[in-house]
Amino acid sequence: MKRKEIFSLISPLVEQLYQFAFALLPDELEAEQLVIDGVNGFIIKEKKLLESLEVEIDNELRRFFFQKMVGHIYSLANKRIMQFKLNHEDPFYRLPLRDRAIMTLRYQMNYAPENIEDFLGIARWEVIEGIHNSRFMLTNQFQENEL
Amino acid sequence: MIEKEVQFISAYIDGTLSDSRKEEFENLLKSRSDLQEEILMRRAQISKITSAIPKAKISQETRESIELEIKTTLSKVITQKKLGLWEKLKDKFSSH
Repeated sequence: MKRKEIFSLISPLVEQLYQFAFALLPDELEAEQLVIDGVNGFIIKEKKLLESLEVEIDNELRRFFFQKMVGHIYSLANKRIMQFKLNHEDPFYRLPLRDRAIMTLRYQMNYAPENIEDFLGIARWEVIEGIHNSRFMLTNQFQENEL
Repeated sequence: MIEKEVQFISAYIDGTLSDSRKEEFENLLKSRSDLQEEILMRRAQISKITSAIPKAKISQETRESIELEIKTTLSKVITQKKLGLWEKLKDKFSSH
């Protein structure tokens, strides 16, 4: 696959990747850097595969790329979160990083739990636990705010 | 509503029910208006939760900066077969 083709596959994903990165680290510069490093990490790691790919660009391939890049971004965010100060006033940012990743993929991007499992490289039970805990925490938070 | 039904509803809403269980649950739903109401309530809850997830809008400047970095990495990492160059040279060569 040529560079131009690889770029045309990645480019439409930038917006979603940025949204995902921002849900993990809510700072414009941090999110931008996460996307750059996540995509670059993917290109470097999958160099051989990318060079040898000779297939039609379709949604399946784009989804494969997205999955891999989300995995890189999530893994980097897990390391960078230590040096990051979160604003705990926002109920969403009171959730742990893993659960923010799960909730963004599930409810904002509409991925099924079995996809999220592959994206983040975690077990199915962790995805289900993340969804249940987050829903419980956020609902409680809304109820408290309403009182 | 029994505990098992509450769990069923949660799993149904979260999308974690297996296909066979989903079918079983959807059949049960047809005859139970109390479950249907519960599902509507849960869906409203999910929609509230969804709206609490930040939807960051990327600026044009940020997008361009990210795309430039990607292009730079691609040109450094991905080896390009130089067929294009040879094709041009070959055409020039054969026209003389």
